[in-house]
This record gives sequence, C-alpha cells and structure tokens, in this order.
Amino acid sequence: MNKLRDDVRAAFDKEQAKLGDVAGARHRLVQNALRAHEDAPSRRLQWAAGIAAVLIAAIVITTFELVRAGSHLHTAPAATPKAAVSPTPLSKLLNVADSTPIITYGDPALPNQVDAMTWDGKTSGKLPYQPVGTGNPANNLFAGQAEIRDRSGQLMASGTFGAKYFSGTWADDEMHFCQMVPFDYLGANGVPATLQIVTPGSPPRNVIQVGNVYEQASISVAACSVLEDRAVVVQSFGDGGPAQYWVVQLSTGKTLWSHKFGSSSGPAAVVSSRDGMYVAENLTKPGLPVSAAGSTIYGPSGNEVAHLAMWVEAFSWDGSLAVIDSGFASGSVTLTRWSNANTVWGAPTGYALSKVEPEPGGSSVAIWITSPAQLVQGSGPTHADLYVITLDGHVIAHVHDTP
Amino acid sequence: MAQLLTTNAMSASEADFEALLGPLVEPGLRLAYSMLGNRAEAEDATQEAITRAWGRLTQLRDRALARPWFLAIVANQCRNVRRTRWFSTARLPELFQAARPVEPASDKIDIERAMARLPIRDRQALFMHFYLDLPIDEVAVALGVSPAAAKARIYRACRRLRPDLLEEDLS
Repeated sequence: MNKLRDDVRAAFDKEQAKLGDVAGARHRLVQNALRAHEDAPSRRLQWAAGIAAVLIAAIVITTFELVRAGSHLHTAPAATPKAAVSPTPLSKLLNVADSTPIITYGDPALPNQVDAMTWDGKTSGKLPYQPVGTGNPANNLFAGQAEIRDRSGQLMASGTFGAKYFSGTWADDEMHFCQMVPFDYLGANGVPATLQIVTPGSPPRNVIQVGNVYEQASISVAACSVLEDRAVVVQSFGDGGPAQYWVVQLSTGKTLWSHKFGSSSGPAAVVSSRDGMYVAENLTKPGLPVSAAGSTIYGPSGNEVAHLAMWVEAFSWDGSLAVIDSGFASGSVTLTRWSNANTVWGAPTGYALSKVEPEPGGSSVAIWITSPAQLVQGSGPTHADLYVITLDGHVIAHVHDTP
Repeated sequence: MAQLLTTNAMSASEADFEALLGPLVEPGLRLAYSMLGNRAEAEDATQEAITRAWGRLTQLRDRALARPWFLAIVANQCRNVRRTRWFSTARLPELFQAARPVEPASDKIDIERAMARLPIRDRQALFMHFYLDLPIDEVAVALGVSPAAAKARIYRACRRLRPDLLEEDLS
C-alpha cells in the first residue's frame, strides 16, 4: 500500500510541478475574491437584465417555432422506419453531454439526416447539426478542410487542414490530429513529407520528416496516438499498395520500427490499431484463390505476434479484437480475438464490411456491413446495417438500413 | 476541539476571513489545478470559490471543518467549469491524457496512465487523501458522502491502479 501511495503521490507531484510557484497566490486571490463580492450587487443586476433578455428571446423563438411547426403539419410522412434501435426517422435531438462518445450514422428513413447513439445503445437522437468532415473518435469534433466544428455546429477552430478535404488523422486523445505536409505536390519526383501533430488553433509541430509526397502516390497517417506516444505513417505505391511504413514516436520523432516492400512483393494493405501498437499486413497473391490471403500482425516492437488466414480490416480500441474478412467483397465478416483466433461475432452470410469504428476507451466495436442485394445493385447511395458489438460478441444495437 | 464559528459574513472582518481561509488557498488551488489542468482556470475557479465561501460563511458551523468545506466549494466550482462546452469538448482529453513515456514499461508510467483514466470523482478522492493528506472523514465532507462511501471510492480507485490490492490495506 505504501508503494502505491508513494507512486500516486509522485504522479500528483509531477502534475503539480507544472502549476509553478503558488506562494503569491494566497493574498491576491483572497483580495480579488473579496473585491468581486463587493461588486456582486451590480453583477446581480446585470445577471437579472441578462436573464430577462434571454427569456424574452426564448418566448419570441418558441412562438416562431410553433408557428413554423404548424405550417409543416401536412408534410408527407417519411418512409417506414427500419431501424432496430428506435423508430426512424428520429425526430428528437440527441441529448447527451458533449463529452459522451457517440456513434453517428445516416438515418435509414431520411438520407440527409445524421443520427447518433451512445455506445451503450441506450440513447439515440438526431444531431442538431449535420456534421461535415471527419469526426474524432468520440465524434464531438468534426474536421473539414478549413474548419472544425462541434456537435452543435459551433466553430471551434479554422485553418487549412488539407488540400481539398481534411487530410488529418484524429488522435486518440480526441483533440489533436496528425497530418502529412505538404498536402499536395504536382511534380514528377515528389518532395519530402513531414509528419506533424496539430492542436487546432495552434501552430502545428513537426515530428519527423518521413517519406515523400508524390502526385500519383499517397502518404498517410494510419494511426495517431497521443496516449501511447506513437504514430504510423504509410507510404503507398501509385497502385495503392504499401511501399513502406514507419512506426514513430510522436514526442521525439524517433522511428521505432519500419517495414519496406518491393512493388510486387509487399502486402495489399497495412492496418494499424488506433495506438500504433499493432500493425497488420494483409497479404494476397494475384491470381490465387481467397485462401491465399492472410494477415501477419506485428506487436509494439515490430515483432511478429500472430498470423491469420484472413485479412485484418480494423482493431478494437485496445487492439485485442480484430474485424477480419476475406479481403474480398463477399462474406465472412467476423469480430475475432486474434490472439487465440476465437470468433466472438459473425456477420450474416454474404454481408460485406463497409466501415468499422472502435469505442473510444472501451471494448465495443461498431461495424457497418452491406447486404448481398446492396452489393449486387452496386450503385446509388451506400446503405449499411450498423451493429454495435461488445467484447463478448453481444449485439447491443442494430440499425437496419440495407435492401 | 471544534470551535463554534460565532462570526458570519456580515460581521467577520476581512482579516478574520483571510486568516481562516488563507491557509486553504494553496490546497484549493492545487485541487483546482488537478481538476482543470490549467493555472489560469484553476486560479479563476479558486477565486470564485473564495467569493462563494465569503458569502456562505454562516453555513460553516465548525472551524475544524473549514478545510473540507472550502475544498468542496472549490470542487463544485471546478465541476461547473468542466461542464462548459469548450472544456468538455476540447480541454478534458488534454487534461487527462496520460504522461508521454519515453519507455512505456515502468510501474510509474503505468500508474500515471491508470490515474489519467480514473473517473474524475475517484481521482479527486485520491488527490485529497493521498496528496493533500486529508483524513477519510474530511474527504467525505469535501465529497459530500459518508466516510464509508469516501473510503470505498478511494479503495475502488486504488483497485483500478493496482488490481491486487486488499481493502484492509487502506486502513
């Protein structure tokens, strides 16, 4: 117990050291507080005036909304809802704290409406603002090419966050993101690329110069982890196949380990866990059957830790579970504990993977899959069924949205 | 022995008030900093807490409980700050990100990470008990819970930091 107490104290000591000298604060804060108290009557008057103004505004807005709602009473009803979570289209606004992580998804009955639910599947509703751009893991900030907004649409930061779109990768601390610069280069030979960590509203910090930006080949950040102090940068060939990837330490810019491939011998894709601790290299051999596919998973130091017969498409937040499939459009999507190949959940036969999001800081995984009929159609808006699955394979929410 | 506070906000002099609260400003500021992670915000919250304490001085019946009483006001003020939009969307993750390790293997780094993941009220209890050295009874007053609940909260936090800890170890 004493050891724990000492460790906890040491951790708080370290934290409090950043507070600096507090000797002069005592008298100053007490005097300021007492002066503030003397000013309180006039402040209370200001508050009363402010509250009165807000009340008047609320009455005006409510009246306006009631009139407006009355004028829309005869609008044709939306399509029959298909969602299993709650009837759609959802009409109530999502009512959770901004800091609560949510899953966002298109309302099955209203294509232009974005709904959201909490990770326990218990609360859902439509978002007050239809977010544009890429959400952070908790989906409480949404980044576009030039601005970052919160769930309510309030502008939180502006800047240039990509050439045409947001090109960053949100970090697992929810408020930073990693990006490669320059965003674009139109020359033949490419230019050196730099990994940056960005705090919206502050100048980016260069982490390391790594790889190149080419006109016809991409370099991207597969993982950006402030919590684990590492990022994974993937350089691709012109055909999209990985040419090289680096696992780097964000605080020092040190390359922890990397793999480089020839143009015909490399994997088809590289997938990282959110913290860069596990990296899967998905293998395939052109012309060979699906059974030739496979995935090798590398651990924190670049050591091989597992080999699977299927492709790893995504990891859960802690990296222990993997969403795997055959690497092709058809079938066999499972959520698997890769360390022992134990399948905890399997998608309906014939459904193909569309998208995966891990629960931030948790163990559940949101998996979107498309139906065989949707795959045959091959056009039109992309519909996908959303499943929220716990660590033990229990489906806690299912939003049906496929033909 | 506890001394009955016979003065109140109307009759107590500012000097008396400063004598009572002055020694508590630093622990209050440290608690605020632990909850908010920013000195300017911590000072603002502490100052606001002092203003409120001055206005509520009549509620303090026992000078011996001035410390947990004031820390409770500081903690409430910090919780109000944490509920604001910008803080909840942008500052919380920054505040509770784990320390960046050079080599992420040592026990201390593990403790820091585990502490960063604790619920704020559990972390607050640990801070008051282990860092400010408040006895369980005072932690309970500051948290507005029973001593048993305060002890349970600290035990739960410790268990999250060290899963093999036994409850007797806390006593």
